[in-house]
Formats: sequence, C-alpha cells, structure tokens
Amino acid sequence: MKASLGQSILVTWENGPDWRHLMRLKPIVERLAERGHRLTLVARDLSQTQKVFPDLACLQPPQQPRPVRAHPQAGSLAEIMLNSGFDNSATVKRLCAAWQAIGELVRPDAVVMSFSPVALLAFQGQPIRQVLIDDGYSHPMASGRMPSLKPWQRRYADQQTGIESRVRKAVNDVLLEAGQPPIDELSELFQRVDSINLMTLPELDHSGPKAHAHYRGFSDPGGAPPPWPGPATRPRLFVYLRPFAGIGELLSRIGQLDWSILAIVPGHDPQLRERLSNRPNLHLTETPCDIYRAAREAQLGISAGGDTVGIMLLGATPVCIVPYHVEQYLSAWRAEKTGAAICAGTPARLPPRTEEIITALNQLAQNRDCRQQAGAFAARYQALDPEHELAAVVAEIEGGSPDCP
Amino acid sequence: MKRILLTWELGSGLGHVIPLSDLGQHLAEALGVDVWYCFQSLHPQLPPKLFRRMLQAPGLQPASKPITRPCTFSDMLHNVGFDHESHLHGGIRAWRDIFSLVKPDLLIGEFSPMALLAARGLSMARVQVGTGWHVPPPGHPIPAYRHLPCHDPEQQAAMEIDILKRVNHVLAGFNAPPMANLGEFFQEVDLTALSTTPEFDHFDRPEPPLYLGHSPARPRHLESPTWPPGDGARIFAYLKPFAGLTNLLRQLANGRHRVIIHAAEQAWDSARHFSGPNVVVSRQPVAIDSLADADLIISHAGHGLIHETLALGLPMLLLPLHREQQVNAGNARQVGAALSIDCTGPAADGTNFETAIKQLLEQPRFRQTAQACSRRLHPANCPGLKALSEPIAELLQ
Repeated sequence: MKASLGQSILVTWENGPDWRHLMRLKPIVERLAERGHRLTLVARDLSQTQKVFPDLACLQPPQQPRPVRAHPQAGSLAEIMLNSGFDNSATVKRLCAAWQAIGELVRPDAVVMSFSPVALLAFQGQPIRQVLIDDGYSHPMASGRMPSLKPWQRRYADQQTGIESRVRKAVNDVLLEAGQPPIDELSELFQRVDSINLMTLPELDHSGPKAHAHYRGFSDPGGAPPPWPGPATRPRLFVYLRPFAGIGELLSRIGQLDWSILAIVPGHDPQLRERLSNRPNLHLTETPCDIYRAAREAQLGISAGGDTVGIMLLGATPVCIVPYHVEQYLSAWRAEKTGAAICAGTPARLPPRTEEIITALNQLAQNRDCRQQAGAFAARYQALDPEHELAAVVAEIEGGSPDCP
Repeated sequence: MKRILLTWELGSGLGHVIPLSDLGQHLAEALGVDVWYCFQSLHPQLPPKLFRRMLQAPGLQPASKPITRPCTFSDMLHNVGFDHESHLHGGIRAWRDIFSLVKPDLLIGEFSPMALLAARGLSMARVQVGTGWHVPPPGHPIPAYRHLPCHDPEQQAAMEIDILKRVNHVLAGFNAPPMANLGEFFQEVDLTALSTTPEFDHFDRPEPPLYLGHSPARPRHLESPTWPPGDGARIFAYLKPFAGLTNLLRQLANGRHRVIIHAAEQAWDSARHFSGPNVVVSRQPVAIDSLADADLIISHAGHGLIHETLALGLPMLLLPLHREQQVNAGNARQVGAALSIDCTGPAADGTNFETAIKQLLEQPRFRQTAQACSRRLHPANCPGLKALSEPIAELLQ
C-alpha cells in the first residue's frame, strides 16, 4: 500500500528525560517533514524541543495542576502513570479532554507517541493511526503484571495489584465514556495501537524481549569522522557522557592511561577542557561525531546507558556503563547480561564514584570474554540497517509500505 | 464562526480561573462564537466540558537570577522570562505556535504578558482583563504600585531599558515592530477592562480604565458552617501557612471569641489541632455569603475576599503574605474598613494579633465604613465581566 503524503502528524512526548526522547524522535520527525507532512509536536520540555526543531510548531502537553508524586521512586510503569494523573478518573478525564482539544485543532491523520500514556488513552477509538516510539522502560509486556523497573528490589504482589487496579479503573472510566471496550489488564492499553516500535534491541530491552513489538535498534545521526587524538597505534577508548559531578575527576584519571581517548561530553564546563589540555591523548569535545564509526574503531567504551551502549555493542566494543539514575541502571543491568558490558556502581548511589568506574573499566579491559561477547552481539545484528529501520518506522506512521532504497 | 482565545499565564487560584471561564462561556452563548482557552493550570474547579477547548499554556522560563523580593511590575517581568533573550524567544515562539493553530480573531489575556507580547504585530484584536495588579498604566518607567514604597525609580528605569533592548531584538526576529517603552504592549490593546473598583486598583492611573467591579470566583462546593456556641464575637478566618500562623491560632483558641477557620490545604495540619469548644476548623471552602452575621473577617488580603467582605459590610484584619496582598491591604486601610499586619517575613511569629482584633471589634468606625462601602462594591451593583460582550462583539465585526 502506498501512503499519501501531506498528512497531518501529531508527535507527542509526555514523560522521561529530554535528550533520549528528542534524539530518538529527531530523525523520524525530520524524515516526515522532508516527505511533506505537516508536523505538530507536543513535548514535555518545550524549550529543548524548540531548539531541536526550530521550524516546527511545538505545544506544551496538558499537565496536572498539582502533580501528585505518590511514588517519587516509581518502580513500575503503573506507578509512573499514577504519578502522571491516573490516580483518579476525574484528573485523567480532564487531561484526556485537553489532549482531544489538541486533536481537534491539529486534526491528525497519525499520532506518534513517545512515553505518552495519557495521549495514548485520549486518542483511543479515534480514526487516527496510532504509532508508539518507545523502549522497554515505557512499554510493558503484552500481558500480565506491569514489569518491575527495579528488578533488583523485592516487590510486593498485593501492593502492585492494588496500584494497577487503581490505574486500570481510571483508564476504564475514560474508555467507557468514549464508548470503547474496557481493558482487563493495564498492559492491554499499550497494545491498542497500530504499530509498536521499540528503539532498542531485545537483549537491551529494560523489561525483557517482547514478541509483539518491532525492535528498530538505534538511529544513526551520522556526523564527522571521530577525531581520535594521538598516534593510531594506541588502543582507543570512546567516552560518551553527559556532565555529572564526577566528570572532571573521571576524565583526569582515564587521561593518565596510555590510550587514545575521545570524550564527547555535550554541555560540559569549558574550564574542564582547559584543565585537561595537558593530556594530548585525550580529546574532549561537545560536538557529536559519527558514533557508529567511533564505536567500531574503539577497543573500549564508556557510556551512561541507553542508546549509546547499544551502538557501542553493535560496533563490537565492550562498554563500561556509568548510570546516573535508576532508568539507566536498569538498562545497564540488562546490558551486563549480554556479557559484553560491566556496570559501575550500585542503584543505591548513582552516579558511581570515580574509583568504582575505574575498577569496572579495568575489569572490562582485562576480560577477553567481554570482547568476545561484544563481537557475538555485533555479529547477530550485522544486517541491522538504521536507514532501513527508519524507513520502516516512517512507513508505519504514514500507513504504507517502506520505500525501497 | 469567529473564534476567541482566552489566556491565563501567571498567578494562581480561583480568582483567575473562575471569572475567565465564566466570561468565555458567557461570550460563547451571547455572541455565538467559538471560544478556546489556554490556561497555565487545568484547574479541577473548571467545568468538565471546557477541557475540550482547553490548551496548556506554555510554561514561562524562570529568571536565571530572579529578583527575590519583586517590588515593581518590571521586577515581575524580569522574573517570568523577560530576563534573557532565549527565554523571550521561546515564550513568544510558543505563543505564536498556539496562535497559528487556534487562529483566533480576538485574544483576551488575563495576566498573560508573554501572550500579549507575542501578539504584537499580528492582526487579531486584543483585550486585557484582570485586576489592577496585572495591568500597568502607561509611563517610563512603569509607575510604582500603590502602597509599596520599596522601589528605586532610577534603578527601575535602567532595568526597563535593558529589558526593552532584549525584547525589541527578539521582536525583530519575529517581524514585529519595536517598542518605545517596556509597557507599550499593555497600552496598545483594543480594550482594557479591570475586574476591580477604583479604590482597589493597584495603580494610580492618569486615565480611568473600564472598571467592572470584582468578579466573584466561587468554588463549586462550599460549606456553610455553624458558629460555635457562646456569646463571644463571631470571627471567620481564612488562613494559609505563614510565620505567625500557630501564634494567631493559639490567640484565637485561647480567647472568648467564636471562630470559624477555613485552613488552606497547606495550613490544615497546623490548624486542625486548634479545633475546640470555641473554634471550628474547616478544610472545605466556606460560603462567604453565609457569614453575614460575622463580626470580623481575618484574611491574607486577597483581592476577591476583601471585596466579598466589604459587600457584607464587615471589618477586616488583613495579614498580607506577599506584595500584591500588601497593596490590597493598603487600599483597604485607606478605605478605612481594615487594619493590617504585615506577615511577609518571619517577624509575624511574635505578633500580638489580639490587640488589632480588639480594636476592630470595639471601634465602630471600621464596621460603619465597611457598611458604607457595601452597596457600592457589591458585585450585583457592578457591571461585571458580562458587560464586555457588547464591546467584544464590536471588536469582532
């Protein structure tokens, strides 16, 4: 089937940190815009979204007047939903009505949702193509209880059942009012869409592999060749981190290694670059490069978790993971199970201390098995082509089949 | 069908939400127009059907270096995104995106400085409503609020020139004409209508605007509590948390007066312990009309509650907690129906509230003045927001 061009497409992002969602949505949105569609973004962080998409209309999503944080340390998607307004029917009805108001103005042919449970509920039953762009953190298993987002912690079944039934009741109140069939399990809501695209791979899925979803891997933003410092004979360490309290100390320590180190740290303090200027083997920059290529050329990687971990593993590079928060720790916990990554620190204290990171890095450097497992991971996905996956996602949104390259 | 967009960007509480939504519903019915709302809070007290026409207002970027004790209108602008070009650019762009989707023929802004600024250079008609606090009079620098002696005109003028440079630079990027002074975008609207009375305007103005009187903002569920038994004076207090709260509650509980307290959500934990034979503490909002037999009202000098108290002809003890309430309290003192005790700082903890209460109860001039104002200030005797339908119909033609 050939999709029509010039469609109205609503792109939503309600929850989760900025860079990951925006970076995932960026190539999709840009491709859709190139293909002549009219795009409207409704994004949690309006100012960041305006920067990433300077030419597109951006709106603020409907928000609760006084956010309830009944579960500040949410341990499941149900608890996140409870915090997002699903704690009572009246609140979620108001939020859904406000989403429908946006729909009334935008008149979308398709709605593309990234971690947007209220939008997902609000557009149920409407003649609009619904496409999820998520990962295993924001998308549950096809059935059963919502998976734990802290599997290293004990969960109490009665408590989880109670939370899910509260959220389910709020969902069903909205569905019934809209003349839609109620759900028996909360996970069912997430299946009532036209296309589920998880921007990860099964081994790295936060809550485990899912047969009902398309795994799309990680987008390829392209970029300049990686500017490795020093002679090409040195082993290469690729660092991709956001600034955190210990970044200066960590870079000073690894700068003492006899490696060629490329450190991409967007938003770092310029004084840090001055402090490290006496390390000719370390190139610190804010500017992203071709990270797929950097991953292939490196012998070791350091990342905070998420998509760059996956890209490093696709480049057959073992990764030392430095999680800053629990969601990243969960993705690191999954990555460790591939045998190709080592996670520094513990969920009780994040981000990890420099000493813990150096210890993990040393273990990784000395562990041949990690390298073999990273090679095996890369081999499994040798045929995975980010461009092909992007075309497939765009086709799902347009409601047609992908254009053949 | 003509389309109107009502916006509310700043401030909190029902005083913004209810009158503006009432106005929208009235205009939809009276003029047969399509009314959309863009509010900073999807307030639970709004009628459910309104949410089908409700957008979330863009959050304003807080100042990188906020002025901690804002004293002038320009201090306030500095604190809500006018301090930095990127904040201004983001705010204007966000509102322009809303305008391009909604395509309104007319914008009605209530405490919506960024929305009004974003509308500069666009063809839609513009109306601004609100109390005097939200609408500055013309002049450079923007004139000082009444009863706030804290401002330094020279420093303020310099700051306004600074802000104006940023604003004009950003406006140029949106092909909007530059302004000669910072307050210009408030003055260039097609109509300004203030939901207040001349006595309770927050500014002295060279030209009187259209005064509509106070617009009541009654929540949907109101209680009509019964006075505790006894023969003491009947005092109603609406209280929020502040440094002297426990001290005041103790003085009220230990006195002979009969007291009904509506404790705001954040004050409930402190207040509920003072329930006793002569004190009723309520968590639910109280119907002010049911308090006509009270002898004294204690409040934090909210603009609405002052008007509703005067409409009942009752004297007031006012305990302002922030700048706007200081101006309201100053106006009420000037009218002669109130005493006020500044509670904006920690010093309120040691205040003897009982002396002021005694004075207000024993000196008849406070009650007499309030009763003299009662008829004139009563919302039923003021034009109200509904009076706007005629001029708005003209603007839409």
